[in-house]
Amino acid sequence: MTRATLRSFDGTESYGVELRRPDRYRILRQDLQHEGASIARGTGLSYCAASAGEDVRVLLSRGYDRLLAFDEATGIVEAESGVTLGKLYEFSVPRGWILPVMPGHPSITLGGCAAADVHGKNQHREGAFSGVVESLVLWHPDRGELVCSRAQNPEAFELTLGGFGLTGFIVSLRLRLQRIGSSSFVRERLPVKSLAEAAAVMRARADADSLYSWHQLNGGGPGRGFVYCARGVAGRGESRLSWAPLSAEKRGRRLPPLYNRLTTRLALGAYALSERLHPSKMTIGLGEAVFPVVGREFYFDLFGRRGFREYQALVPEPAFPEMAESIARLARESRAPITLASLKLFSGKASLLRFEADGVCFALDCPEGEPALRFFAGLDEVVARLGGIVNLAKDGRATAALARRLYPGYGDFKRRLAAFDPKRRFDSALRRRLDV
Amino acid sequence: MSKAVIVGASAGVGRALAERLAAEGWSLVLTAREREDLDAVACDLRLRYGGAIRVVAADIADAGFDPDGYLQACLEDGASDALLLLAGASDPADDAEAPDEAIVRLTRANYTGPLRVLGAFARAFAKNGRGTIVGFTSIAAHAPRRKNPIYASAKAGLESYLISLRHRFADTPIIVQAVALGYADTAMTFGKPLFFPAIAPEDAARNVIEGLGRDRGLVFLPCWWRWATLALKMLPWPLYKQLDF
Repeated sequence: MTRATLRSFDGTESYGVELRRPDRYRILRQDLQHEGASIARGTGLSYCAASAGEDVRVLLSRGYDRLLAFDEATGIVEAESGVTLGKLYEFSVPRGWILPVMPGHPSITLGGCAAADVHGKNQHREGAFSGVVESLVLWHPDRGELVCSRAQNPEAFELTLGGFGLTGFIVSLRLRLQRIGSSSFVRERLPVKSLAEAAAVMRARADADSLYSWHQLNGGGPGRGFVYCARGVAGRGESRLSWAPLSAEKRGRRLPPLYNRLTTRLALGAYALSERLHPSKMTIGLGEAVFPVVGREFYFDLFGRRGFREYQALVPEPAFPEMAESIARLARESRAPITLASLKLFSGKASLLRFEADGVCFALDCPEGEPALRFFAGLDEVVARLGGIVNLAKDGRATAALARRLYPGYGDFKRRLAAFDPKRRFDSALRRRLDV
Repeated sequence: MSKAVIVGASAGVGRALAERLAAEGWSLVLTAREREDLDAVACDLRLRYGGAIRVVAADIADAGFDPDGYLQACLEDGASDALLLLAGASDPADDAEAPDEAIVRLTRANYTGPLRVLGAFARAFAKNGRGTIVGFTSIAAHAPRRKNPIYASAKAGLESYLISLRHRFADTPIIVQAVALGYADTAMTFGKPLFFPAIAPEDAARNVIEGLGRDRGLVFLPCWWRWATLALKMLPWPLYKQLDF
């Protein structure tokens, strides 16, 4: 065990913690029994500090990274929470199965996916991670070992999915994989003149296997860019995945902030130009389709030690044109460099603090600084007025007041969490900030 | 197809050895004190590599440990080609004033228990006329200091026993190696300030497996520890006693 400083992945927060890395079940049980609060930590890639907190005992799940069972007939896999998406991919894909909901990077752990109720490139068709979890095993020092599912300990199950690790240490999960339809995809790049046009183009192609957009918002315009629409085709594509681990500790460690208004505008302009030089239809393999960030992790390093912030929010589709116009206007007014602007279609039912609802989801990345904070504060007002929600795993500045305002389930989650864990045996900077 | 018995397989370097050997198609018998950890390691390796992986839970430091019964359990599916012995235990209370209970416990875990296992397997390998034994000791055995005296002296004794076994089986097909392990990135060193870098368990495992067929005797892992410990041993006492490591 050791005192360590852990940073959030976006680099904007850091906390002094007691860090432990148990490697046996007996040690994990011992480590959970203490006077203070604990929190589990997988790879620590939540953008905000969801698995760290001042003086919290942080328990790394690295030692519990084993696959436990797999049913070839049903595609149900049982795995410890420290298994990474990459390890699961390498196991399941050659056997013809894949996890249908996979967020950005293979380094992310299954426990992290469940705790943040993550989504993939295809949320409107596949839903969020909570939908693929059949059951999980949760350890809580006062409640012991709980096997949780929709039928067994349903309260613990519901609170744990999207519960940011605040109900206990997720030891293992049973997940429902899907048979792989195609390992080869044709990805079409469609030019769009604005964010609003992108949403309409995406809606018309909602049956695609992967659908997202990219926009240049740094010139003051309405967000010219591209919609990327991928559909599976017959034929064997490249499904092998070669990836390097991503970590909050190493991100941008040796660099000063390199994105400013000029460099960002130029970099995105160069990207758009290079895209236009490629054919608008390209065949890509499964690995590239599922993890497009792999090989491009330097994007996060270029923010330097100072870090970045991501605003990811979801508004009802009819309200999106107004949201799009507000995004463009606030971008101009705040003068924040926007290194990434991307849309996805979402569908789901709002519940507790989960980032799930029907609508259009947008994500905006900016280097850390006053312009980003001004920009995001302006966006908060518009999102609230339009009945949207922000992704609490991304936004490190979201306050309790904002969460209460945006999430009808806020009070419900707070009350039920207090009933489940009255002595607050699990805690984090995220919980303290949101006051749940 | 080759078979190995790994004692101390549930975590750290032992687990890394199990992973690598399973990947290379070896059949394995994994041993540790706690069955729940062994089961998780075995399930994972079986699923990913498909080999024959069995577990035998045993506490070799226990007073009631039965080496012959243990040997039988390990060999019930066939003779073993290799024994990799990593079991051991350290304790923060291990110093010159350690209570008697700690002396007994740590000596059993680091010396008596391992010797009993080695003895049983040496007898089995001698009967079969073949086999490889790799016993893991520690750089601590080569630079005794005020910390961990029981652990360090037990490892020194274990190392001496392994070299004796090597001598006994010289000019036979039976190979005996002693691996003096330096700092490894495992639970033993996590969070501790170290003067030298820790080797990743995967790298230690790779080195050991690559060297399995060779009669290399005593090796330091990483190899530069041989010179580092030699330099320490050559320090005159007035300087040595100042060291705080």
